[in-house]
Amino acid sequence: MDNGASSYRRFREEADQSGLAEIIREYRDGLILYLNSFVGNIHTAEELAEDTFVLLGTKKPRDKGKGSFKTWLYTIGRNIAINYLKKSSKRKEISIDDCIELKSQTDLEENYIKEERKITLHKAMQGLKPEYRQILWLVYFEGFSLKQAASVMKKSVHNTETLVYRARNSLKSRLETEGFSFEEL
Amino acid sequence: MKNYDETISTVFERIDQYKTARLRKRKIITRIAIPAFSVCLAVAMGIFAVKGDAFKNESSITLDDSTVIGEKDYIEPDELNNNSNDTNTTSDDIDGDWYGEGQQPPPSNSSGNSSTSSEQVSDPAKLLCYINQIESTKDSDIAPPHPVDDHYHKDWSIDEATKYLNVDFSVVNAKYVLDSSNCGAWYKKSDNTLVMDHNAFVYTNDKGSYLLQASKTFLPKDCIVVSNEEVVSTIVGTKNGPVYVKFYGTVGSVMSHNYSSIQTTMIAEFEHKGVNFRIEANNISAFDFYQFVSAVANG
Repeated sequence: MDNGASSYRRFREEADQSGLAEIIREYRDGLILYLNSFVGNIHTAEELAEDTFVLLGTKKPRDKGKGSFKTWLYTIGRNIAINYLKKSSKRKEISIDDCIELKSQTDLEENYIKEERKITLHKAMQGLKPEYRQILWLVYFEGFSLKQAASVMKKSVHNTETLVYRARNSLKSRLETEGFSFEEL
Repeated sequence: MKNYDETISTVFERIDQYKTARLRKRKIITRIAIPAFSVCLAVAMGIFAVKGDAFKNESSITLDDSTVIGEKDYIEPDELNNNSNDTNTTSDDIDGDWYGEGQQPPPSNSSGNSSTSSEQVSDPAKLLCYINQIESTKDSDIAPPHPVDDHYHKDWSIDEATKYLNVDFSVVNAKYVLDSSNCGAWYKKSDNTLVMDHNAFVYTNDKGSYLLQASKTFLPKDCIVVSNEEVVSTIVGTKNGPVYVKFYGTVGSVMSHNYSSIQTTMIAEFEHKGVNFRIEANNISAFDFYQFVSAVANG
């Protein structure tokens, strides 16, 4: 599968529902965790991810093919999350201690991230600014290039670079405060 | 947290719901839109028809005998193009039977003439029909009575007419030639009560002509076509005091279809010493016309 593009084409042009099912299986978890960095609530993020797939199924937007399918999908998800935040008119930032969805989130993290070190890193990210969380998630967990991350976040590459730098420093100091060290940062 | 299958199931369920809702919405819109569109179309056609005068009754001019002085009755431009038969009918409607027994309404020119002349009017929509414009005179007070069955009438000469009207035409007589020997008539009942008098004097010379109508019992009237800008109310000073005269500049007569002279006709209407005058001048200069009006008003 070429990053989901062919699956989406099958669904869009041939009404093959399995194409959309493949996309959901492939991208759901990553998208939820990415959207979670926006809304700070794993269930809301799950609903927003669902909304993203529903939008693909109903509006059937055309992928202009400028970037990878994953970048395009995350951009759609981001737009939906922003709309949600505008409607709810307040950004729900919740600390990891207060998170009642901890169990679900932990399961998802373990299932998706797998690496123990990265899971620790992801948990530490919860205390960062949403923008830092988003960029760190895209670059360090999804493996997006700076250009792809910039495209998803609708920023210039230079701005994204600066954002990554600041986010990384912020996370590093947070980890140091909690007694962790992460060499890759 | 849902597993993959649950998420996939939920997503397709919502997609189906969306499609169903959209289909239902489209049906509702179609159901509402068709009658609404029909109604809008009917309204639009109605407005178009009304504005376009599609239902206009061409045979009638809405010129009533105004009871209020100065009332302007608008003539639709189409009326200017009506043929002579239509207009004759109209003239009867407007003026009633104010021509005495045996008299005929002014002769109308051919319809071809009228259409040619109407083209001389630069903007027919601006033309207004004026009738009974004499200041401070109510048409209802001086409307021409219908000659009753038991009446008798008598034609009279210029001397009899001038004596009856008590107007001195000597000034006019010096320049113009009276073109008619029978200058008027009166109608009386058997008990010698005056019903109506109507006097008409036609003066001519080699340049132009005047038609002077005068009556003590009614206002000699005609429907004239005139652009609004050319109506001038003025005061003619006389030895007996001021006389309020309404001049119409370049006019044409609806009655007579006298459109050919639309650029050369002037009309003055006024009331003086209990006599209602209407003076129409053709091919006369404004100065001469004023002099003539002044002479009559000083008579």
